[in-house]
Amino acid sequence: MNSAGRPKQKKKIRWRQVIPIYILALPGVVYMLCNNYLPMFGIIIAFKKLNFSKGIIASEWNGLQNFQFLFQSSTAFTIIRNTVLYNLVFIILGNILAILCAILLNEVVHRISARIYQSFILLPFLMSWVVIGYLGFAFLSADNGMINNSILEPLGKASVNWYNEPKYWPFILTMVQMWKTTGYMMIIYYSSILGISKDLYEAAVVDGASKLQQITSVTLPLLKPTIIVLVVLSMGRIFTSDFGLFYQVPKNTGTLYSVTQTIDVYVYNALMKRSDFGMSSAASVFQSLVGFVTVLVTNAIVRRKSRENAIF
Amino acid sequence: MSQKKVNRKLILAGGMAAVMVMSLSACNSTSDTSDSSTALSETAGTETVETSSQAESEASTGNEDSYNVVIEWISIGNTPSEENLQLVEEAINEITVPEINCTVTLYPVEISSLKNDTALAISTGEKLDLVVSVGTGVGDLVTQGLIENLDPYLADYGRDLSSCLGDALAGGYYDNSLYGVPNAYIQSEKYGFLARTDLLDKYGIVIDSEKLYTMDELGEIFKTVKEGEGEGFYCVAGLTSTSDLFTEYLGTVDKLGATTASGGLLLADSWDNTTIANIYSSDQYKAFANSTYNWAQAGYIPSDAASNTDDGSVQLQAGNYFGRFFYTTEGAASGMGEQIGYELTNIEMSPPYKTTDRYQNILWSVPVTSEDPQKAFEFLNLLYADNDIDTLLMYGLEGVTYNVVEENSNGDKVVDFVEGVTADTAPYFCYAGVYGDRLSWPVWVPNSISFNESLREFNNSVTNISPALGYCFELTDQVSSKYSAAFSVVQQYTPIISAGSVDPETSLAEFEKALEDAGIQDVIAENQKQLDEWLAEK
Repeated sequence: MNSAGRPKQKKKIRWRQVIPIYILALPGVVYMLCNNYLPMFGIIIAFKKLNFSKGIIASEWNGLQNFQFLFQSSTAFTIIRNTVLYNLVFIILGNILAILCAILLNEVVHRISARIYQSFILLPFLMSWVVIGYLGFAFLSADNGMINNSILEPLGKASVNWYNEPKYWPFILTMVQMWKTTGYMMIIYYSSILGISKDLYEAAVVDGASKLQQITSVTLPLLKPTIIVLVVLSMGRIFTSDFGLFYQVPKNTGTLYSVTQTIDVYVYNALMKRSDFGMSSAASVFQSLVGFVTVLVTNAIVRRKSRENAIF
Repeated sequence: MSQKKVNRKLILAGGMAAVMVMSLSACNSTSDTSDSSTALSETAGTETVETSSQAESEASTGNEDSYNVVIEWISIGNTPSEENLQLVEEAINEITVPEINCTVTLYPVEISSLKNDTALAISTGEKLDLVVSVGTGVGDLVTQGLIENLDPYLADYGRDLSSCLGDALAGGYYDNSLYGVPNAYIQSEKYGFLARTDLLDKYGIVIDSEKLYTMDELGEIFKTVKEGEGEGFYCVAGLTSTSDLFTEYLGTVDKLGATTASGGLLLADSWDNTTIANIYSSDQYKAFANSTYNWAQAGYIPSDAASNTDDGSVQLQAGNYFGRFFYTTEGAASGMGEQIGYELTNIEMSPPYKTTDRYQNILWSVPVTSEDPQKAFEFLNLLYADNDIDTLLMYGLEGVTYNVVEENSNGDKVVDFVEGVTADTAPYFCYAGVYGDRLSWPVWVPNSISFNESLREFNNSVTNISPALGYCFELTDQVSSKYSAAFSVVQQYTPIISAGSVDPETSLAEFEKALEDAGIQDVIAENQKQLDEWLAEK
């Protein structure tokens, strides 16, 4: 601050303390470099015409040719629209539902019942998409489905051929996704709520705050950092979709493609019979790049609104 | 001081890491040199054998010098133990060492990851001399530079496989060179509908086995059966979310070694049609789409058929289906019937014909990393020769997996499992029929001893041959992405049209427009250009 010698000395002392900590972190850092950064080398496959006998590096470059097939067909607009819109709905609705469940669960006084409810809400998250696909079919099958046979028929309504009617599927898919993932996100919020000091609530009660006011004025503001982190992180995957949800649940039915086909399903269908590593890595490079940009943009917006809440 | 200590530790750690890395690379280099030295001695070995003109006594004792051919072994969740693989390898070596002085090692690969494992093994330089591609053709392997051109070896070392395969060898060509060798089996299939015999009898329907039925005539049969059986009963099983009934069974289409996303020859028009067309805009396809739509409306096809993921045989087992579209070649109906527990009758609908893609299903190739491609090819050739190597590879050892029940003068055999053994529990049993000449393997009880003979006769009776037999569409860079886009459109529309779940009045137009948007015309033009060049050269 005031002399030139002092900071130098100060630095030296800090260095000595810090080195052992770096050494402690070394295995982790090396692991992260190997696991997360080394494979990034593979990105160049997206710009190459891969020839194994020449190897990755010696293969010819072919510019952006591998990316073309994503935008070739008339479905390019549909698949990008589907991917982005579904993700936006999932992010918004998913967070709202998860927070709601977490707050409600926090209000359950009896600890054991809270545990039980928590497990029940989490259970769907542990199921595989293939199983969920069949569960869905048990509900929606035209001839033997529960909805047609046990709900619509007794009500005297005409049965619906669910797998042939695209208009219902945005709702079905959203419901299934919420049913499956809410429990998982809820746990993160629930644990942050448990971390909020009881003193704050007591103070609020002393000030005469109602339950609702406690939630809006204490819980939610203190949850804000968690919400922001989760939203920004999920923004990074806005161009990626859960293949299981969009492929297994609609049972890959062509009639529904206009509302169920996302980028991942399209890539799978287009390249299923070909092992074209160039095109498939082009697709994921595209998804990751857009996701990266979205994370930066979202974070920049957060930083502009409130600096202390931005992730970086 | 503590800093110094830390530094020393760091240096030590760094040094140790360096030593480790160096010793690792040293390991590599030593093994490399040993590999190459054995390779040298091996090639030397083959040369001596050639000059000593197959001196058998020398060759059989010369086990040390013989080249070791590593061949893929397809596992469907049933990889045998190391010892059992070795027993079979030894039995094969007894034949191969005197014949061509080579030994064999089996390299088990799980079928679900076959394609990736093969690419990985070759690109990492693992020792592998014969690889098989199942259901994919050799196009990808060639463009990725993974496999050898086999033309140089065919004339001198491929006599047995050429004579055994005949026209079927056409399936292994890509870019006018031989890259793969198919297995030998029936050279074509007949196509049609397999119907439950009990229901045909119940409604007094008599099927003329000589006649080719049309979709309309089949529809009439469906009508009788459906009216008799009523609600909850369907006529067509086996439709799934990936079906393309027209191309698979009914259309008489030559896909020219690729898929319908690059167009095809409509051979129903004429057996010498060489004009490639988008088959989904043809009149035949339109008529087909109308039929399936009417069937779905009439309740012959369940309304969820395009979302179905169950196998047709599972559906038929349940008892509420009349039959399915399938092969009507000998053996197909009885095999399927046994599986589902109902006797089935063939309703013929499409004649047998020979096309390139028919022989692309199973293809053997030699990877570029093979140290002795010629030896590998010689061994491959031996699989088709008159010996028991292919039977050994398929079913293992006689007396261990199976016993011969019946045998005739042709060399045909009927076999049954050894007491207490099934295909699942056998010490060695290959489910995937990929090795050699399938018509020389023994057949299993309860098949009749004349089974293989009748298939050989059928082979000789197939006279319809596509004018493009031996031609294979090469996917060039210019149309590669258009092809993929068109392929995904085909994936979207063909299952729902096969299941009749959409009205062809509107959906066919949509389908065609989507294909045009994806650029199928450019792909077809490229395909036609290549075909014309190929025809001119022929």
